[in-house]
Amino acid sequence: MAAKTSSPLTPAVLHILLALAGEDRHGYAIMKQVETDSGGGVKMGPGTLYGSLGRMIDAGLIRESEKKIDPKMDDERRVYYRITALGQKALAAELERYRAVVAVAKEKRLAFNMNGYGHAV
Amino acid sequence: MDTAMLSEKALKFWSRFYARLISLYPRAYYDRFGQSMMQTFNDLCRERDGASGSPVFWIFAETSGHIVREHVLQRTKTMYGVVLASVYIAIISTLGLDGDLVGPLYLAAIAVIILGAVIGFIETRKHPRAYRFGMVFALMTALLIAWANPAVGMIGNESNQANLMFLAVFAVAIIGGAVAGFRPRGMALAMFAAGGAQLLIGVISYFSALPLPQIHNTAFAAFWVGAGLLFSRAAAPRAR
Repeated sequence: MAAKTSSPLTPAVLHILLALAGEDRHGYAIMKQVETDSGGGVKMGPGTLYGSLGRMIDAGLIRESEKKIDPKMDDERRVYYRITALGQKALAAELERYRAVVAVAKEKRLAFNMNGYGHAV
Repeated sequence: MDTAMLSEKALKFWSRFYARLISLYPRAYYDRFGQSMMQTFNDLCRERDGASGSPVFWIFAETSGHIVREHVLQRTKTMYGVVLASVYIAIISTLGLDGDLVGPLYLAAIAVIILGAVIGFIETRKHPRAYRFGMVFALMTALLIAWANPAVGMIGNESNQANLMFLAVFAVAIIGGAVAGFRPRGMALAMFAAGGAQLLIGVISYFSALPLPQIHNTAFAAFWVGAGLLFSRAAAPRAR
């Protein structure tokens, strides 16, 4: 099953793609990176993480990486994941969608504040 | 030892417990991610404050929810099959013993068989060639029976209502396939069962003093078994 790059991504998929955009990571490292990227706002459990990873592999967005960290430094059985070209396209398309939404919000002079947004300035 | 971490003893305890929990995932999922999930769980435990023990509970709760989810997702196709089989049973249970053999309900029953076969064909995209041949073989057998039965009547003649028993053979094939989620091994068993049901009708006819089914009843039973053998081949580990 190949993913359509034009389809909106779920928050979990978006965050995982973002986490893998910089480098190959294993499950726990992805989890920590997502937490960092979201400022602690998004916390994934192993169920969500591996369920998403499985579906992303099936959709061709990521794949298992050949990268094996030095066994002395890490557990050599760890599986690392790498974003694919399709995954990069999907991520770029999603970020473009976000940019478009922000542009519309700006155009409508909507401001963000602590209570959410919707207040004209 | 850092007191902010779970003690090694507690870690071993929770690890064993978590290993038990993730073994409840569907087999294929467990084989694919089980080891990685254990590593991630151990990593998470090592970083958490073990004072209350509560940090691991959310992981258990979260994983439990996902185990249920994966089982539901994996059984979606089976659910379709069960619905299809239920419709089929509802139709054949309302077929009266009076009137012509071929009526709207008989045709509806055949339509359900064809619909089941279409779902099966969609499934063939990700199965080996033997699966596709098995599906073609099974569908041709079903359609031949559905055509021959009202045309010449396998028991007595075409107006003998005992011929409606052959719809039960389709039911065995469809329900078996549905329960198996159209997977090769289950499909093979369903086809063998359909072949057995086909022969059983001959036995029932004999003991019920009905005219014995014609010789092609045995041939149809052989066709079901042939389809079953093809599905068995598709279920073999190195089938292509």
